[in-house]
Amino acid sequence: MTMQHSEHPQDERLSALAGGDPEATTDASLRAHVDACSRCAGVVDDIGRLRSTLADLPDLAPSRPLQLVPPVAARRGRERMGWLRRLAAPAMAAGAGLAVVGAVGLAAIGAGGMAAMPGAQSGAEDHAAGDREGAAPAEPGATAPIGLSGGATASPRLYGESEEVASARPSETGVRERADESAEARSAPPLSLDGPAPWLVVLVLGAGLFVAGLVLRFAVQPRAG
Amino acid sequence: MPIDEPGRQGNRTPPLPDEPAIVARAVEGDRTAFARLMEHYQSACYGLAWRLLGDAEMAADATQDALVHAYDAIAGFRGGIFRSWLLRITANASYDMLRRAQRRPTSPLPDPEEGQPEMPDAAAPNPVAEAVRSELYRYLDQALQQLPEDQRTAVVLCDVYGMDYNEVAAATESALGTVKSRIHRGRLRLRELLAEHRELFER
Repeated sequence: MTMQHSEHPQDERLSALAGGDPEATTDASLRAHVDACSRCAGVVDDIGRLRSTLADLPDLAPSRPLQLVPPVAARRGRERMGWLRRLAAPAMAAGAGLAVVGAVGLAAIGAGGMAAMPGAQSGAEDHAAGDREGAAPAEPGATAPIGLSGGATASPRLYGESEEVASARPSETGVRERADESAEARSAPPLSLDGPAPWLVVLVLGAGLFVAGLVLRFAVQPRAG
Repeated sequence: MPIDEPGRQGNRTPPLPDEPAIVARAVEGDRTAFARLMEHYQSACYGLAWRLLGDAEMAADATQDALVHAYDAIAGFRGGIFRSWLLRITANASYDMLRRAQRRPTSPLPDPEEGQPEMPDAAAPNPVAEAVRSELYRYLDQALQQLPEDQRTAVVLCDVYGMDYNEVAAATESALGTVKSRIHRGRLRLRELLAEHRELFER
């Protein structure tokens, strides 16, 4: 049924001939066979017609509208500002984390018997609070320093990043302000681990980082044009 | 054999009347000129993508990818037939998508080894211009979708879009001999699939 008689060439050769493949068209014995064999001539003929119909298949309208030209803004953004915007998510995440740690720390101190929130503004009170807190380690004492030390090592690095960001875009006053704020907060010298001040610093740093991330994400739009 | 050599255009989108000038402007970075070219040829690209992928949505995604790649590459266009250049990019984008789809276990694509793909979504593609999609074209497109994927890809690129063996080999990352064999087997299989519609081939 396959009609592969020994004298017939392989059908693939016939396809090659029908397709104008030079290997086949210059094969005199192949051509001679096809000229003499109606079966093989029929295959060549079929494939020739098939090919011409295939070549006529119409173009097809897209199933949905396509964007013909990529937006300049997005492309520039990807190339030039992409690294900046990629910092946004980590900065926001780290900022939120720090802020939560700071807030939890403050709250814990508050729960520990101090009116920590209002007192946090004054360094003197902080120390007073710290002394008293040190005497009563209680629940917050166990977790707080760990959280703080984590925050203290992590925040300068992240802070450094956002500073870099700020200098890259001097017009971003938001970032600058944050940077100043956190710089101030960081340089507040006598940090005792168990007063509310460090927690406030962590909270402010975290919030600043978060805001800086927000700014990066939404304000640093690559300019079109 | 260049893609779509003149005289074989038939139902295909013909070149724009002032195409060389428009292409030159697009190469210089003129976005309007580029958009004009893409608008003109998007149906050509989509037709190729759909025939390679057999799925309307994937074909639209692949065509969109191709337009973005074309935008990135247009500055390096060094003459030749613009449509062929664009179709090569589309073929590559479609082939990439095919590979990605096959790596996903939940691929909507039929397993190429089964050789029994789904029939194309009859409602999906619409022919453009006056090219009424005759029964013949529909049967032919359906038969193409029934070929094993490697044969279909080779036949579509070679016989539908006029790529030569070397271009097909490059687009499918396959050896020349493999490509030839796929083309021949694909054509012969198509002939079998269409045997019951022989009347359609009588002109």
